[in-house]
Amino acid sequence: MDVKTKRRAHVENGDEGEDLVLATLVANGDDISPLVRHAFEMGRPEGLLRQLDFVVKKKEAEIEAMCKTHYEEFILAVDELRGVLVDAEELKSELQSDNFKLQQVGTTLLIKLEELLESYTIKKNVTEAIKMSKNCIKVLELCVKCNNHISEGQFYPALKTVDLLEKCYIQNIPARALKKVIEKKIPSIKLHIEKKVCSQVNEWMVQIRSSCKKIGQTAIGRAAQVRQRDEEMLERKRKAEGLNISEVDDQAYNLVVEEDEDSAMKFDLTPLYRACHIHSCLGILEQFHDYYYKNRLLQLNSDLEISSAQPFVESHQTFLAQIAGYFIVEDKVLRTAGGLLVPDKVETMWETALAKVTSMLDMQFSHMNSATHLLLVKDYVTLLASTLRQYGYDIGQLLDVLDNSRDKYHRLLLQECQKQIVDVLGKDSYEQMVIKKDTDYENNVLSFNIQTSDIMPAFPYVAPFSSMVPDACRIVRSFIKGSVDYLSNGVRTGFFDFVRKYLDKFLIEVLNETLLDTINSGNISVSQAMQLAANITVLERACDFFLRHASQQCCISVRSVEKPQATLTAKVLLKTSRDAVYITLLSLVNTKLDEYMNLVESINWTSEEAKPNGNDYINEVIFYLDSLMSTAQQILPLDAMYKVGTSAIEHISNTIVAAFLSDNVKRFNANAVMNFNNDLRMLESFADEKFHCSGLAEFYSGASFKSCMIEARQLMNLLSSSQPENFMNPVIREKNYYALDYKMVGSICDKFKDSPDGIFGSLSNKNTKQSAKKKSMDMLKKRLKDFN
Amino acid sequence: MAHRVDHEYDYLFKIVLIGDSGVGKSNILSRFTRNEFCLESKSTIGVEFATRTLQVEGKTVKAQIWDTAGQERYRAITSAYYRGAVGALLVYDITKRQTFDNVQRWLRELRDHADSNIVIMMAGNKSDLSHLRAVSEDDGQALAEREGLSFLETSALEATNIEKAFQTILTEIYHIVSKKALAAQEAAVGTTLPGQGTTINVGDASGNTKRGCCST
Repeated sequence: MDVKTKRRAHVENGDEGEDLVLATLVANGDDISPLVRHAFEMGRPEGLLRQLDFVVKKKEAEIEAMCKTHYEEFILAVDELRGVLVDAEELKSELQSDNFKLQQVGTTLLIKLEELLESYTIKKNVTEAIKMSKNCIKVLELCVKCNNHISEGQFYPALKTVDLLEKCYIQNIPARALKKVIEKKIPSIKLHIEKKVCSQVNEWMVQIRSSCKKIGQTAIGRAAQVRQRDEEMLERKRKAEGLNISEVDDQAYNLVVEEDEDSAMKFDLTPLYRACHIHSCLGILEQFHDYYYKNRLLQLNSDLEISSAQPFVESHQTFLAQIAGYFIVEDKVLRTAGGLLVPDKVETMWETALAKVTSMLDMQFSHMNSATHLLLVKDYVTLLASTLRQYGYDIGQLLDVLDNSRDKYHRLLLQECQKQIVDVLGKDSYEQMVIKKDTDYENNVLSFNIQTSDIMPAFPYVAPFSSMVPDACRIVRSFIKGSVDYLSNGVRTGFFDFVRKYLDKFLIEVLNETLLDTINSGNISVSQAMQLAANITVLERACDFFLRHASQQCCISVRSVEKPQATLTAKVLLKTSRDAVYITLLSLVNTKLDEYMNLVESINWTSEEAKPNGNDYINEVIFYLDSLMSTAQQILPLDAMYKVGTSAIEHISNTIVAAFLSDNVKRFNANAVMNFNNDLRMLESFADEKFHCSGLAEFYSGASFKSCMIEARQLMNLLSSSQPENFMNPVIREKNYYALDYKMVGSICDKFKDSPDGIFGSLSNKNTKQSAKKKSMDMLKKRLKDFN
Repeated sequence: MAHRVDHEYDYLFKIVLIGDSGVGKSNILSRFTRNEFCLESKSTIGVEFATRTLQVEGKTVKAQIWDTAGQERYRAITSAYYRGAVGALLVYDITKRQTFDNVQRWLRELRDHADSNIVIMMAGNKSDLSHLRAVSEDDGQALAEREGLSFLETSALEATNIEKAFQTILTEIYHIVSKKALAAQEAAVGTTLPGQGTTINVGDASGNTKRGCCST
């Protein structure tokens, strides 16, 4: 802008001023392009061109001035240059000559030089080739090493080598073909290793599977030993409880040093660990985990199939031991194989096995028809349960199966014991046991606490019971043991209530029912019924022993079962059965008496003579009663004996009265009355004697067997009386004839026909007496008739 | 029975494959005839058969092998299936005890429907699954001896003993057929000799031998 301003001012002043400006700019070396651009843009370049011509002219003048002053120097310079040219030409010739000479001399050297260069190239190539070969050799050495490892079955070093090849060498292999081959082979090698390792795992699975049974059996055997030691301890505890020692010293528990592991329990998982490691190196560990799990599950399912060719009772131990061994192995795998198995997987396996085993046991138990078989299997199942519990497996379902089969087992046990009870009763001789020595006494009496005194008796000892009683007690004891055997060892703790329930059930449904069947069978005699009653009395008492024995077996305190509410229900029912057998006994006795006392047909009701010794039947009856009472005195308790006596005598009395009432007896005379009266006297005499001799008088003071004959006695008194009409006197009747019924007396008196025209009719004294009695009797008859 | 059909082979023997469903009968067939194994187990429907020609003691034998379903619902074709069979391969699965227990039932079926002279071989298949074995080789051997059968454990997957099984059964069939041919020849000779005392024409005998087999 400044320039423009200057230029405009100069233009106004004249051209000369402007020319100086341009020349100055050119001299200074300034850029004049803006001026040129401006001139052409304005469309007026003529001014600029003139200025430039001026500058040119000025410069030419300067050049001419300079040329004038320096003419001489110029000519000298040219001359000097021409001299140099000649020298240069001369030098050129010399150089060409020298070059030729040099070429001749250097030709040989050049050949050598080329050879040298070629050798350097070859050397370089060879060096590179050697280097490449070394690399190849390294690679090939690794390959050889890898092959050796594989052929020797050392897969981990082989994989390390392959890995090294893959990561450090494969990209740098200069030989393309070799590289391709190796790249192709590496996956094949890995696959080969994987297959080989899986093959090894399969072999291990075969081997471990065949070992599982041994492992399981060993572990279960160990659990059995522990159980045996526990049971020995329990046995000592039971004895202590049995002695009812108030304070039992604590047992000194010996610390059992754990025995060394059996060889069976040292199973080798090395192939498995190795396989895990190999698969981890291969990067397919998860795949191997799946493989292991699937195949082991298949093995488990195969193990869970049981052959139907062999009975379960025979095959169950092998079967269950195989399962136990399987899960012991899996537990170790879970704990030591670094994630090969996870708890969920093992749990799934266990649930699979548990479902199968429990359903199989349910099915097998439902088919079993022997308590022994069921107990055998239960025993092994509980051993299996306690074994696997130690390894952390949940065994609740196994125990549930046993619980579910508890009723089945006891039903079978009941059936088996029932057969034994029926057999024992069937074989019983119904005779009192004769015990000849103290060991027999201990085995048959003391061991069941059914002795009558605490003093050892003199031998031979006649027991109040027959042989069925100790035999039955032994069966009951074996039932208790069978029940405890099933319910103990892991089924549940505190199982005494179950044992007691089943014991009660057995005593009620088997023992008591069998006794009742025998009682009601109608096949037993009086003496047998009597013995049976005595036996039941003893069995009733033995119930206390049974309960105590059961509590001992269950290790329950004896004191707790001595409470009143702890009594077995069976005891009450046995008492009822004893009453039933008494009823049967009395019924039998009465039937027997009826055989002897067929009075209606065997008696002469209008006898012509009196019999001072009574009718014939009475001797038989008294004889029978005597033997009956003697037997009862031996066998039955005193109250039962009293009951037998009173019942029999009462029956006799009723029979006599019934005979007088019988429609088959149309009439009787005074002699008949006299004879029956004599019978009664003999009977009464016997009754009194027996009552006192048997010791009943001491316990039943004020009572008497005679009181049982009161009805017959009063009837005889009335018929023998000289004044029978007194029966109608209330005071006299209440005192002397209270047992007699009006209607009955009336009926009987109508049959009373005396003979006024007998042999002694002619005697005036006799006639007087007879006549008086007759009148009185007639009076009684009349009044009774009116009364009724 | 075996008979000459054309000049491609000397004998044609029909072999039936029997056994429970899923024991691997079809894979045994495909392994033997096509050298193929299929891991996916599809149940055979009805009947399939394939053939393969092999050499038995210098003779060319064409084996026509019939494969059938082991399942109950395809049993209607039983009689047709067994007609004309000279050999049977009774297959069980060593990993399934039940398939071995059912061998007895299959034997009864053979006796009911097949020719009484049928040659039977028992095969315990899937021997590659040794870690899942449920039937020991000794058990298989014992049953085979009791029943008078040949026995081999095979693996169609690994092609173990498949070739050997068929070779064994075909060889045994060939022996029986040869014996029968010889017996027939001797019978013919016997018939001629007592009656007339004619001289035997060696040329005719040679021709008879050359034919090799006859129908029964």
